[in-house]
Amino acid sequence: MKTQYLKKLDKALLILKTEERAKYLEEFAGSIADRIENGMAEEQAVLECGDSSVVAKAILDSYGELEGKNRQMISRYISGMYILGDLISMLISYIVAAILWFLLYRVGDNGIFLNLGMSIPVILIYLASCFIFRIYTISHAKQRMEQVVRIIVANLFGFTVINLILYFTNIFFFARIILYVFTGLNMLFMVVRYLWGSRKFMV
Amino acid sequence: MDAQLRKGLLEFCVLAALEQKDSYGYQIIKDVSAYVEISESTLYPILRRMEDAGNVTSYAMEYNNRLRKYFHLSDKGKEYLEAFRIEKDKIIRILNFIDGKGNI
Repeated sequence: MKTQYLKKLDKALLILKTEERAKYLEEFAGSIADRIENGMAEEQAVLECGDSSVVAKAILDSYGELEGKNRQMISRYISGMYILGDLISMLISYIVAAILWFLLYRVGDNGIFLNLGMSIPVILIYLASCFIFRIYTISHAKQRMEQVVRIIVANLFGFTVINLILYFTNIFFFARIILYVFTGLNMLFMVVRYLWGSRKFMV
Repeated sequence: MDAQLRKGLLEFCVLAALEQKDSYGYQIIKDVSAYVEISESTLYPILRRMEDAGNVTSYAMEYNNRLRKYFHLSDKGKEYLEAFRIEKDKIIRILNFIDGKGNI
């Protein structure tokens, strides 16, 4: 009961910074524990703390008296940051892909296996940059289908831009193979990770 | 009581509760709710703001095999509370005026 309550509260406060959220969760956990130690049943203790959605609303409203408008602005800002983070992550990984490909192409090795092997570090770089921008942490990704949509959109965007650049530098053919492979693996990897994360951490 | 007025007063109630001794969330609620309605969802954001402003500090202390978070009124917080007390007379005069008992 207590765990479920805290999980719901955690989810409802997702808009807050991780550290900030952790503080509230710690405090509410403490309040519930104190009530239980005072002889209250766990169910009653949780009930007295208030409905998690009402509590979350009150907490969020308290941030600079975030009534409606301001909260929407913050919401939009965070969404904007996710998209920006997506694009930056894509850009970093595709630039690395292009550099790696160019180096390999110059030494004369342009076989498909090398191209496939090359996509592995690139995917790792992509995931690392996503993590740095805190887009795909489990708590953000769980039960959020739009994250998958964003991944696909960002991949397609990056794919198009890099292909265009490589097309105009007359190295389109090999770039196309690499980027098809990279984009396919990348998307598959992220979707699998999302599905795995949703199942494992589903509240 | 009007929500805005209550919110303003709650801040000082919490500080006053901490002036007596360092305390933790549930105890503060018990102490303050004898005078004004307060819940965790109101208290913790107040404490957070107070902590950010430097009026309150927090520390963890072991209790019953778990860490309980205690809040402490800082010197800055004491000054802040004292400043409110100095203003108290003005507030009472305003309340009297609203009550039709005199002029400002």
